[in-house]
Amino acid sequence: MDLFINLAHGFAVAVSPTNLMLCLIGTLVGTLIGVLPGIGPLATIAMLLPITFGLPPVGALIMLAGIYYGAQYGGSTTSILINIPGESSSVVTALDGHAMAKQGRAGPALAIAAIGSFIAGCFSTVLVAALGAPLTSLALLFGPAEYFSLMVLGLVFAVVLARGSVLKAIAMILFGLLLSSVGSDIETGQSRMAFDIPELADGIGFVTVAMGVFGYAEIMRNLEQTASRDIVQSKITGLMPTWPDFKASAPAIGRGTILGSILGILPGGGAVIAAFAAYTFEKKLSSTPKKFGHGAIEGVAAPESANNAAAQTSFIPLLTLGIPPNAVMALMVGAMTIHGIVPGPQVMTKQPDLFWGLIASMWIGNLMLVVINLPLVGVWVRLLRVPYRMLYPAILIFCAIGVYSINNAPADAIMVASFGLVGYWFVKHDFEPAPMLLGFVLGPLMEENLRRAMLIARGDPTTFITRPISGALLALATLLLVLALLPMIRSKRDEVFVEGEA
Amino acid sequence: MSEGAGTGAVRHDAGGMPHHHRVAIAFFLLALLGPVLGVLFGKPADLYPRMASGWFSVPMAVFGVCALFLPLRNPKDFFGGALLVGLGLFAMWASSDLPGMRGFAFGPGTAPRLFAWGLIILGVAVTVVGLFTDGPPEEPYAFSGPLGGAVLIVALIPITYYSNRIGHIVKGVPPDIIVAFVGAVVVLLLAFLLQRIAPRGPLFITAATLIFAVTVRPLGLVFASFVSLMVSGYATHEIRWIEMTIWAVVLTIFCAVLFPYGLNLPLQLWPRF
Repeated sequence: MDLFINLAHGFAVAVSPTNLMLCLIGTLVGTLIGVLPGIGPLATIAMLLPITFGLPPVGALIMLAGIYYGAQYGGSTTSILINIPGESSSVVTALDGHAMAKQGRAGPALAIAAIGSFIAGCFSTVLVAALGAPLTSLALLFGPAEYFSLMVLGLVFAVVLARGSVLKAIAMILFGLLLSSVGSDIETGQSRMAFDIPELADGIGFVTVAMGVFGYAEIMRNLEQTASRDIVQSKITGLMPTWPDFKASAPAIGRGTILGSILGILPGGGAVIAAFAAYTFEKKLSSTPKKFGHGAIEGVAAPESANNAAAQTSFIPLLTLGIPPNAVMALMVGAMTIHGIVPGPQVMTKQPDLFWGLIASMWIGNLMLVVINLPLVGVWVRLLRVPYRMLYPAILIFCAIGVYSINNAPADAIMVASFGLVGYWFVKHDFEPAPMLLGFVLGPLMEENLRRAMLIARGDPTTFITRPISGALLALATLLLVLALLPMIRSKRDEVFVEGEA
Repeated sequence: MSEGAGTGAVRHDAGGMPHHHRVAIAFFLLALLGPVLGVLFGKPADLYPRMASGWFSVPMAVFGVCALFLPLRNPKDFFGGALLVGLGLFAMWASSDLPGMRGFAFGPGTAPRLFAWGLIILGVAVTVVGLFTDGPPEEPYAFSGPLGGAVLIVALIPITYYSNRIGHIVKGVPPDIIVAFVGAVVVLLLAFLLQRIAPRGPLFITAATLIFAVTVRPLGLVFASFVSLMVSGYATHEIRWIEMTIWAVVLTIFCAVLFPYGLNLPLQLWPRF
């Protein structure tokens, strides 16, 4: 029963006063940005990365993780009450959740969303703990060729699951890979594409790209929509769901949790896709699909459980294999590197405090969310009255100071502005920035493993196909890509995932 | 290039020139950029090899030809693909000085060129899709926004480059403060000038960040935050000056307490004199 001993150790780490406090701050900030439209977990984590400098690594990661799953909770609140999804993972919740609120059943909808999220959170916490050890031992079988192929598979998943054109998603990944090769060559130290600019010699900062492409571009785009937000205050009466509500939502929560857990582990997946998939799945299974969209409680329970489960299980590939499955996890890699931790199988053995502490904190964080969220619903809704014209200067100045303080380099702030413009341009031309970020993070790892594998195989590229694990991964990647490129399947795919990863 | 190209239909801009002619001319100018820069700054002694060293931008002319003879049915994809090809070509040029394969080992230049080739191929594919499928028209400000912001960033380059000379214009004032002041004023003036053709959002968000970047070191966090907050407030038409001023003061105080004291970051609060 190593699992329980380890989990107990994790809880011992997580309940230290500092870590509890940081977990609370993380979940509160996460809920806050989940409530506020126009700022997502990606931009927030990028913004707060520099702030975590002074914290111990365990605490920093606990807080950043709290922001991610906290945002999944917060998004559901505004989706249900005022039909404004604060987070793209809650877009589907708005369909049935708001319909329920209009029927005067906002209370049960909120309660089921919270209960579903909590159950999903508990399940996926155990899953992360249980899968940690076997996957880590699997990682030891991996050589450079396998790592390279696994990353290719991850990128292909990101392409397949991204919104819109497959070609554009691949192009974005390549652009990210290209950006990542700016700076010094990993083997020879030769300066690459840096034009003798000292600020570029060390490569382009990860935070810089993420803040620019997600934070700044988002502000620039939001400023064009001058629509004022109408806040309809609906009275919440009777929080408790009825017995039929429970009976209807229990299987939906179960299915949503399992589907979300799977989609979270898969590279390229994430909370948004999980929520959409769970909703579609539930609608297909239902004996009364016509009720969906008109206040079916299953339509709230399934996606809310799924997005929370996925938010947590996406830590599995990061913690065990060192490969971020989506853009938010890519940021977590950035956070770990800032603290001098190399993500990968060695984290579990060398940093047991971090690994098990983080897992235990997820469960604690979920408990906190249930306890604090329901009483605070009124506060969150009132926060939505803050006009955007006051919100964005604050975001902007936090980003600017944050990125400047990483290296005390003014050039970094200029780079953020540049990437903001690049991101704005991408969005205007229907390019998804999330695959680019993934490519940017995986770039150096991929190149290193590719070069090493080629060197070991003495320049024989067939090594990627002849090694069994690597070959199987590449075959799977090819199969997925072919499926995605078949136009028939693509049109169907667009139907399911109308929103991409935030 | 003007905003919002209609799909298929020939549009006329204010100058009386059809829209697709303007697009084509822009691409031809872009194609000539490499050879012209090659002649001006190239290393080889003779004129011809100098011109040839800038061949990397010439393929962009193909897009100009496309714009002239084919209707742009899906402008979003057409311009999107064209930019990807441009980026790929730029990367090819930037990594052209790096050694490639050495025997069976990768050189520093192998991976960047591999990615650049991929980007070019996909860019062409996206463009081809854009030429042969129908798509939505170009969104407003898709070009003028990023271009306006880019002008501000580019304007800072000569100021940084000649900062030694600029810094000694006025005697008795520390040179870095003069450079910061000149940089901030130039960016702000340009932003106000450009707002007639570019949207305020990208323009003033960029301006605010640039002003923060140039002033934070010599003038300290308090001054830099306050000024860039006020400039960023101008990025929306909804600005209310009194409210914004109060809010900027509040945020400045908050940042000045949070970052240096709350988070122990080594930031300088006040000017260095």
